[in-house]
Amino acid sequence: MRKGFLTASAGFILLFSAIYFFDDRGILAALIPAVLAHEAGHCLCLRAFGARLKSIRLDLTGVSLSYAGAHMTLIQELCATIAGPVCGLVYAFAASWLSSQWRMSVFSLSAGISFVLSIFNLLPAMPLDGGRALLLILHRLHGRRSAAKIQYIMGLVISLILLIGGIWCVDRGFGCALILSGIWLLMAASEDACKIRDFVIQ
Amino acid sequence: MNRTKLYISAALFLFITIFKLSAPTAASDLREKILPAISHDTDYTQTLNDIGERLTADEEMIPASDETAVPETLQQPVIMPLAEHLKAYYPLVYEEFTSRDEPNPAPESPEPAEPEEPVIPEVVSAFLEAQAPYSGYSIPETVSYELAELPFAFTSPVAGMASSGFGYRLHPIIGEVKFHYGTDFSAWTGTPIQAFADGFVQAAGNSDSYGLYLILNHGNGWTTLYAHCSQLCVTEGSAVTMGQQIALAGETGQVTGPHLHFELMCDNIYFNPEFYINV
Repeated sequence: MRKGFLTASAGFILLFSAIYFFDDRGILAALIPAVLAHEAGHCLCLRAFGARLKSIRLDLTGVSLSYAGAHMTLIQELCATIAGPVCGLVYAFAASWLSSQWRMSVFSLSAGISFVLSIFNLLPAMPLDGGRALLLILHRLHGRRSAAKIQYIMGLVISLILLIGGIWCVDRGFGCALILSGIWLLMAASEDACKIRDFVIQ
Repeated sequence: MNRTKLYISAALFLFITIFKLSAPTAASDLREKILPAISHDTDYTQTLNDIGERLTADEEMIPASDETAVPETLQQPVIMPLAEHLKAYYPLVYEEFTSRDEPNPAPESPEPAEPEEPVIPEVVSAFLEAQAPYSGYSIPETVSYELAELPFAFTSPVAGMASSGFGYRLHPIIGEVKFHYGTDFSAWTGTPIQAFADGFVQAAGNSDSYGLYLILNHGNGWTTLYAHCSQLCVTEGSAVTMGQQIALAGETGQVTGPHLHFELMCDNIYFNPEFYINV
């Protein structure tokens, strides 16, 4: 592998350290395979379409895969984008089945994490996979600028829905995870983020 | 277009500021309501675990017991180290390997025979035997394993079997050992719940963990609690007779399925309901 193949931002390293420090239930052991399954889905699909993985970046928006050497049709690009969540769901069911066979909580926890991550990633807001897929379609239909605008508004709407849902959750005593995800999405929403960075899958 | 975000945020800030300045009491009420709601630590790990399990669950989940009992008294969740884990799962194997070397590791473990009481009621010894894998844990301060004599006639609070008993139990999913301060009876929503004995309704309420609950006072310091009801049939202060229908079973509060959580207390000490009720 070339030098600089794998990079990580300071924020990511700090977040990772914090999770590791506070982890007393094996959350990290459950989280890492789920993330790996998701990214493997992307990679395998890209490979199948003739692309080559150039570098992997880890930061607070997640894992970004840069690839090169493929001229993919819209359908192929969509497949590569959706492959992540799909692989994550497959992994979720597999891990769930394993947990029922071997009776170990790390598998069911991993299955739950993967399931939630995959479903969340399908939301049509950037920088999630669903947002990227929608953006690809909008690109084809409306051209670069309009696509970015529409995607941006869509991202704001989704964040708003998550925020309202999150407030309802807090009211019912379900905790603030949904609100936090809404805030995260809101902060990640910007016109720039809604421009497809060619050859990068998040 | 990033200005839109800016405008929205600015508008929110203005709104919050105006609200706080113009209605300070309303604002502080809202604050008091929100802060505990936010800092309330929903057990995400448990929820994720449940999701993971249910993805490939074949049978319908049987009415299970609640994960968190007892908001009022202090309950320390006990996380079990691996050795204890093995001990609970393979008590015979463990005993075989350790009985020669190790003395009883917990000086406060329930003594099967106190010198003053040579005769142990069979139901108590059966219970202590079942709790043997947890002998490393001391009995919580607010709990008694005694078979106290109840100064009144009593009956089972609900028709049905107990699904989860009083005492220490190994949670099958988390792998943690927790103390259960009452007995859970499997009961589908709508099953009638009866008063354990004569008395009056000391409290009727709704809490986050217990859901809809009733506390009956039977005199001489004895009280019983009936939690997770779907409906209460009596009001605070009214008198009840043994066997009278006081509520309907449900799944309110923090539960994974409908059941009755039943507690028996005397002067705020928890006793084992299964010593008295045939389960």
